[in-house]
Amino acid sequence: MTSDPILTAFLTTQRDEGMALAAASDRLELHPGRGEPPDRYIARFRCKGLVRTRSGEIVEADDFQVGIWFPPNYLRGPVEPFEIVSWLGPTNVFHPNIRAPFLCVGRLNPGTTLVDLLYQIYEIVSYQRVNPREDDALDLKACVWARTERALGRFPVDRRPLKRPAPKGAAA
Amino acid sequence: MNSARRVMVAGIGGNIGSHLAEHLARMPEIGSLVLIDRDSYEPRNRDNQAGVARGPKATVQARRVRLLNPGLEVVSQMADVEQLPFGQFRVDLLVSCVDNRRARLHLNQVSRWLGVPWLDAGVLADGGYARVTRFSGDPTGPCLTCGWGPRDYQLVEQRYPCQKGRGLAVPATGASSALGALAAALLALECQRVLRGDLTADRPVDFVVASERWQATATQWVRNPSCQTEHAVRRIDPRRVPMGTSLTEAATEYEATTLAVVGGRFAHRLMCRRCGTIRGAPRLVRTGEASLRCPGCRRPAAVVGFGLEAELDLTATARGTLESLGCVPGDVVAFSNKSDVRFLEVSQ
Repeated sequence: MTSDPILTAFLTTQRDEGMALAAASDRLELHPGRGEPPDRYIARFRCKGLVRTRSGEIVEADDFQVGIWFPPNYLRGPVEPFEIVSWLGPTNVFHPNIRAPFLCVGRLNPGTTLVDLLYQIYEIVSYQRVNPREDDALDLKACVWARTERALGRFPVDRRPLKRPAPKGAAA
Repeated sequence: MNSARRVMVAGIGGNIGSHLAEHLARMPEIGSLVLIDRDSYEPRNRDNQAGVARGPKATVQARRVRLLNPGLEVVSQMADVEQLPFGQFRVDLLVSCVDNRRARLHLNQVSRWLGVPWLDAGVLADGGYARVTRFSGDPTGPCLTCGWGPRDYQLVEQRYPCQKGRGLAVPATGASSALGALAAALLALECQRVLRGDLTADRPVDFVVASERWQATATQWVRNPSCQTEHAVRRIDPRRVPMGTSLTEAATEYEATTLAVVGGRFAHRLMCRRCGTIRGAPRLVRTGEASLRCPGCRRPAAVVGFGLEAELDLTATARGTLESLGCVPGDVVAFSNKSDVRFLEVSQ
C-alpha cells in the first residue's frame, strides 16, 4: 500500500480496468500481485506467437507471460520501459523486439495505463506489431527473419482481437 | 570571507560548463569543487567548447582548474548524475549545465530533498537564448517542476533496452561557443551572488538573454501547491552508518522494518545472460542501471524489472551487510518503521 494518494487512486483504476479487460478476453489472464491496490501484475497471453526450439526451428506457441510493475515514481519521474514491462517466459521466444527479460514497447509516458500496456504487449507477441529495424532490435536473428517473412505477408501470427467481440445486436 | 564553500557542477565539460570552469577557478568564495560529467571529449567538441583535450570531460576540466588555481580542492568524476550516491550532493551550492531534462528532473529532486540551492543554465541556438535559473533550498520556494504540466513529463528522456550502452542519446544543442560563454558568465555571476548571500527576496528566479534581439527578460516564479515534486527537506542524521553494518544489527539499532536507498531500488531477480537462469538476490540497482553481475558466475546479468522493489523488507531479509547489498560510501539509506523514517549517510 502506497502512502501517495494520487498513485493509490491511479493503481485502483488500473486494477479495475485491467481486470475488466481480462474478464472480456479469451486471450488474457491477469494475476494481480500483493498489496491493495496492487502495483504489479503477471499477464498471461493465450495467443499465437513464436518460439525457437533447441534445434533452431521456429514454431508457434500459445502461452506467454509478462510482468508489469508500476514503481512509486511512475506518475512523475523518468519511466524506464525495461523496468515497467518484463518478459517472464518462455525465454526462447522469437521476436525482434523481445529478448528475455526485456521487451521493447517503445516510448512510455508517465502514467501510461495498464490496459494500454496490455494491448501494446499483445500486439507485439502476436506479431500484429513488429519493428524489424536492426539498429533497434533486441534479437537480431529474429529481426532479419521477420523482415523477410513480413515481406511475404505472413504476419500477424494471430489476427484475433484481444477483447472478445460484443455479441451481434448488443449495445456498443 | 568564507572560502570553504563546496560547489558541485554537473555537466562541466559541455558548451556552458567548459566556459564556466575557469570562472569558478578564480572565485575566492569557493574552497572545494566537485566536477561531474558523463562524457569524454570528441574532436567535434572543439567547435563550441573550451579547453577541449583528450579524455573524460570532468578530468580535463579539473586539470584546467588546478592549473589556474593550484590551491583549490578539485574532485572530478565521470558519471551520470542519477547514478551518484545521494550523499555526494551534500554541498553548499549545486550548479548544472546539463543537456537533458532527465538530469534536470533528478537535480531538482536532489535540491529539494537536501535543501541545497541550485543554479541551472541552458542555451537555445535558435534565437541565441542564454538562460540562468536559480532555486533556493527553501522548501516554500518554487522548484523546476512547479511550472511543469503532463507534456513536460512526457518529454523526459528515456532509456530503452535496445539502446546500445543504455545511455541517453540527446541531440547536440548546436549552440555556438559565444552563446555558451554568455550563459557561463551569467551563471558564474549568479553563483558568486549566491555564495556571498547577496540576494534579495524579490530577486527574479529566471533570467533569459535573447542575444539575437538584444533583449533580456527576468521572471519571478511562485510555488505551485500541486507541484508533483515533494518539497520537504529530508533531515539526514549527523551519525553515519558504516558499510559493514549487518542488516540485523541495523534493524535492531534503528527499530526498522524496511530499508530503502535514496535514488535506488532492490533487484530480487537477476537473469544471467550466459545461461538464462534467474537468480534471486537482493542487490541495489541505481536509476537507469539494467544489468549487474550475476552472483554465481560474475558475468553480466540483466535486472528483471518485475523483480524490483523500492524497499527491502528487513523482517524477511536479515542476511548480509549494507556493502553486500551494493551500498557505497555516500549513499543515503532510509530505515523506517510504521511511524518513523531515519535517513543516514553510509560511510567507509
